[in-house]
Amino acid sequence: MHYCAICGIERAQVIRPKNGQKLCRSCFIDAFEMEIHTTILESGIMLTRGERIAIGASGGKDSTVLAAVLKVLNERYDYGVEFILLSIDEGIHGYRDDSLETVKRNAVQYGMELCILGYEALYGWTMDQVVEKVGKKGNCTYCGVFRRQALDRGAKHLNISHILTGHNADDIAETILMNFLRGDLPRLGRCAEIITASQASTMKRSKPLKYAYEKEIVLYAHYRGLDYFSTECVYSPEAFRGNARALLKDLEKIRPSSVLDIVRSGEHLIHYPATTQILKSGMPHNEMNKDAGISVRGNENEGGLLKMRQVASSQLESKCASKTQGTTKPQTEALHIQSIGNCERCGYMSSQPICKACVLVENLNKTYPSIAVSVKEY
Amino acid sequence: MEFEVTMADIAKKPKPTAPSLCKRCNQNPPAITMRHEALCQDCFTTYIRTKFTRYMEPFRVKRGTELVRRKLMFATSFGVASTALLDLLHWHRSLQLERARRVEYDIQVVHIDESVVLGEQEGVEERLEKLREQYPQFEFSSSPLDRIYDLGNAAVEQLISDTEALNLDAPPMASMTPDINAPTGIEKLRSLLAHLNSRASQMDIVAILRSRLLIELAKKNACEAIFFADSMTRMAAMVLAEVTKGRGHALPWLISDGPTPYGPVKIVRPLRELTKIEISEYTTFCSLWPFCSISQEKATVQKPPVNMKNQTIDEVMGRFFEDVSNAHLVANVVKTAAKLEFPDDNNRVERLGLCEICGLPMDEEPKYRRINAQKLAGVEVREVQQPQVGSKDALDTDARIYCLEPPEGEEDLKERRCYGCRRSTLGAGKVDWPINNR
Repeated sequence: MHYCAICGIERAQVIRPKNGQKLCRSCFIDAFEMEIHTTILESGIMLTRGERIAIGASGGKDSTVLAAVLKVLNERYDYGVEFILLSIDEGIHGYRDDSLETVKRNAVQYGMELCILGYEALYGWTMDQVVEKVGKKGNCTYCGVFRRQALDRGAKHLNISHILTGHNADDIAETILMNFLRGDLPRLGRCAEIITASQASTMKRSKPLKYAYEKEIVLYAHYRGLDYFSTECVYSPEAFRGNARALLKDLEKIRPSSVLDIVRSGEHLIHYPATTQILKSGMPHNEMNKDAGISVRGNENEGGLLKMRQVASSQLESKCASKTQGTTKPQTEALHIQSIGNCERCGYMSSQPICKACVLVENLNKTYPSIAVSVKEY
Repeated sequence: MEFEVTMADIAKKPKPTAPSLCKRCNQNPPAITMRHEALCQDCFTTYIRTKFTRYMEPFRVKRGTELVRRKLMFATSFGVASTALLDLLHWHRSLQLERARRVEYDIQVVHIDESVVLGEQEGVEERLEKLREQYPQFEFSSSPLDRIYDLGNAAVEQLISDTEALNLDAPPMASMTPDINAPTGIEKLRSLLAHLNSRASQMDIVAILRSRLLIELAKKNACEAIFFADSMTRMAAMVLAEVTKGRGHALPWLISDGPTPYGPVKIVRPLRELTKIEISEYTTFCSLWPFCSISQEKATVQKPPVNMKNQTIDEVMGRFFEDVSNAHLVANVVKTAAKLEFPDDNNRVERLGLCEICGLPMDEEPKYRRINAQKLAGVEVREVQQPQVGSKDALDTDARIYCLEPPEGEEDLKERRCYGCRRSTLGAGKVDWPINNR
């Protein structure tokens, strides 16, 4: 029989997937909570006392554990903040209506205020109606775009500027792999950030469970007997994410720390010449490169030629080469710079004149009769 | 928005009949469909050679210059890509001879013998002999992996003693007398690998040793560049494997051509724009299979699933991209990784130095790296108290967040060894590393 590696008294019941440590039940719960507390402290998530913070709650395991842990930590370490559960009702029958019941119970259990916002009220369409219209494929686009906005709008409605979401380490590692596979460079540079805040909106989003393994979240929920809803969405699962997920599971079998290692790598993939930098500094890109005296190595990867030419030539030549790099590259890069403005219709932040959600809604409304038509039988 | 034509409909449609002539030359019947183009054997070969020649630009004949034969090294594994690249180099060099009546470079082909690690490898000598016959203009040799223990730290001393040996009056150096009880390179290597916690870690360390040995050999033989036969498929696997091992901070260094941080020898990967399938087709068209270590049948058949636990990260990634359903993702991964730019690389090397194991720039806590990089780029950042290097605080985050406890008595390891190497040598105790960064 193994004894717990921490207390040495109780029998070990859990093998931590992260590092193979054998722990007893209560030590595991302590260690799990402690880690999230560490994450919160080190990343400065709860800085302001008296702040009202929204927890994006779906009723699933991640958000339920998030709410439960934060309640415990807020009392134990006295963050002095107030949590409010914010749920989005996509209008999916047999999935969301049931999970919302869970959220309602959670709100009572944890003594938190609850706010539910529906797609129907915001966009005039429930997901069931959208699926009826566009079919089972490709409806996740609608749901994703709508939800992101809906959360922000919900928070604004509650006069809150900080949303916590239940993304765990597995989710983030998958996203990093996916962004590589999709070739999405701008997202790759920021998908591992624990706190994301954009220039145009004051809304801040944080992921306190960023370093928590999915397996440990399930274990924690199990040992604390948390009330959560564990059905998958009835509509099409994200096929592409599934691919990355399967790969991650294979890697985790070989080296359990892989999930954390990918997250760590992702945190290092900061890619500067892109968008945010220029918007923030307001400095022309080429000047920035010159001023900082940055030698750009990434460029050299693109074609072996440029690289080889540079190395082969003398110091002087290579200086010239880097100068041309400094001027030519930014111009092409400048074309990709997104400037964030506001949607002409709804006023939500958008890189285009009309935001994605409004475009999608418009498409949906196009062929939809404004007056219901029915056939009467005589 | 209703989709009138779905992907399923397209799949159901009868396939366009195969064109009867090659799309490029319009003369010969096509032999292969590649990137949506039906090509004849000649045009396909030209395509492969063009892609390869792009990377040979620095080694072309420069007219009106003095003839200095440049020395290049080529690392072969006897695999499909290695065989194809050797043939391409042979073709390129013959073309120089034919067109300019002179050759610009000589090539030393080196095979790293890993039988110490992988068990006895069959027929290395025979294979080399076969290649010598086929390509008499190249030099061939093989070097055991444990040679790194002779070449690494001893190299400088050796050099000194060599020059002094010429002076007959000089007394023999102490280092020249071999200590009989000292462990040999093989023993040291075996003991190093035996202390690593998994096959994944072992193979990671072996790969690092292999490339460092090659660089040392190139230095020793005064070669200015090393050629690797990494295909685009392999590069994609490499990118994700290194990310998975936690070496994201050094990704541009791991995959780009050019000099390494620890030496002037350049790395060239001339097959980086060709997929594995294209390379193996080329091997077929040029009848090169007899020179490969694996047979044509074996290379084309899908490998059966294997015991997951004992796999390495590189193997899993390799299989992922060889799978036909993922082949289209290869280019995305390679191109995205190549575009990554780390503006703080130089600054990081200055401040933190290189990792003692892999020789690449060191990493620092992501949080502080971000702040430092932003400062460097002239962005105003909120000042955060950064822990003193080596202080208790600095060590804790690693242990608490990434579950990477420093080994007992080596709390300062974080300053010498990067995250990925610390992960691979986790629990290995004190590592007797054969080579340092000079």
